Amino acid sequence: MFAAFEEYAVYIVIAGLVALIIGWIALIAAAFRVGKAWGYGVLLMPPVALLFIPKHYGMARRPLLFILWGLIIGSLPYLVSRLGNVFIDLGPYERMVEGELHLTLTGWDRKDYSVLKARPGTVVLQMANSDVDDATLELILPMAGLKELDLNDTAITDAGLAKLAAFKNLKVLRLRNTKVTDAAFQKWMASLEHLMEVDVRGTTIAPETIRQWRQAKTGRKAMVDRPPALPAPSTPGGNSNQLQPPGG
Amino acid sequence: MPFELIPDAYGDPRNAIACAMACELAYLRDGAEGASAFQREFGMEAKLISVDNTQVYVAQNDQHVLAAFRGSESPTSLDGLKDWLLTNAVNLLIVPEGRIGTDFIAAGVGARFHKGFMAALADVWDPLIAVVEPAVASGDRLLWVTGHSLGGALAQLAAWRFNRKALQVHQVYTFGAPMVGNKAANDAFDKEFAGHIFRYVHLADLVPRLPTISLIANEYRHCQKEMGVGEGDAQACLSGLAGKMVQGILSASLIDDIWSAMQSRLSAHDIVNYRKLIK
Repeated sequence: MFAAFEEYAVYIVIAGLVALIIGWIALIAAAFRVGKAWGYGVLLMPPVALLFIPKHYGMARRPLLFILWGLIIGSLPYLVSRLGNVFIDLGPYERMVEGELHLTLTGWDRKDYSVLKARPGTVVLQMANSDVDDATLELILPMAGLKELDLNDTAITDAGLAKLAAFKNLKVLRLRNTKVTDAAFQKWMASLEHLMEVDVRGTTIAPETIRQWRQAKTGRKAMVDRPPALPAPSTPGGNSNQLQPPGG
Repeated sequence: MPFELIPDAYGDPRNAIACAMACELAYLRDGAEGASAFQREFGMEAKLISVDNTQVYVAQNDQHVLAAFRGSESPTSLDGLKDWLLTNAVNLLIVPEGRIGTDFIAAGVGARFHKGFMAALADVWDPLIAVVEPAVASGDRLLWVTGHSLGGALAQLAAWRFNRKALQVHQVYTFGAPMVGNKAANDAFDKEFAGHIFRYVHLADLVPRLPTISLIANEYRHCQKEMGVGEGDAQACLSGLAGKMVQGILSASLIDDIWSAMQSRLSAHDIVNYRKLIK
């Protein structure tokens, strides 16, 4: 829709300009009809129109309407392109993918998570929002077929993790930057046999726990904290890959 | 081996130079020639994955897996890139349908991505992950992603999707890459890759200022972190061109103007030049 809009925007702007010009000429003509002095005034010194319009509103009304319509139509493309983001729907994003319901609430503009209750058939659920907490997880308990759950950056705790132990089909679980603890991960995640991928960056879950979890089943993958960035050395001299500066 | 990757050095010029070299090698169209070049320069075993117009080398050794995306153009001509950056039809910000859509909408329901880049990534994804996944899994090797120009855009998008598949990307280096998504998309990238993406931009290079449909209101944004090299002011050049606009919409003649400005700065966009300017 926006591609077509961009394509035709130029014609819309031109239409607006045409209406503006017609209105302006009509206004000058109206001014001449009232009197030569008004006519020359508006023609040669456009600001005079600001005096003419209120004084002879009956004569100026129709030209004025043309001018206003011209301004509105002509500026429409600018408004739409400026407000383009406003037209992106920030509600729940749901799609059927290969027969499975994928639901995304990450970054939405709503607060009421009861929409989850109406979608027990969800297979992939992404709701990486800071207002998702342990209580929110009550709403997803009917989702028996849930395979992927994104809880990155949420307020869930160990109590929430305990609830997730019920999702026996869970394959992917994202817990980045949450308060879940090492002990809770060990206690509750061991029972999820199908769990293959976890994101535990920014948590206190121990690397050793993740290592053991991965060893328990071939093919398991984990996103873990990497060592913090080291400051870049100021003189990387002695490295064979250091090239000469250009012209040097 | 002249080039090597240093795991614990983030945003390090040595890694940037090595990645720029890998981007240069990624332009080799002949897979066998590329493989021997990666062996010679990096001591890595490399395989070319090529689908339609999208090419990526996956190189690996005991410690690292490196995916290097090729741009759409040869290093000395840019014609292939023009359509990518200035054509309305591929310039749209979208969320694709299907599994790739789920992986990217994870950035947030307001996130939108470049239609053309998304299609190119979708083309190459299956064969790419079929090589990368076992390579990373065997021995927990570090995954590096790099690309120049269009390849830089694909590198950034691929890095996001690798992370969504729990194939943790270690570091990303892009050179002269155009923008790939809107603000919501790039906010999510910043959160996901803080301290792990390094976007090299030659200050005179116009490509990183693109794509754009209208120079008045561009919804495209860049993610962090920008690493400036060289001299010049690409923004001033674009602003100058914006002054020529009557309606705010890119007309055919304005597209040509942007493109000739781009080509007069070809050297600023060249990957070899990028590599030489990194200090």
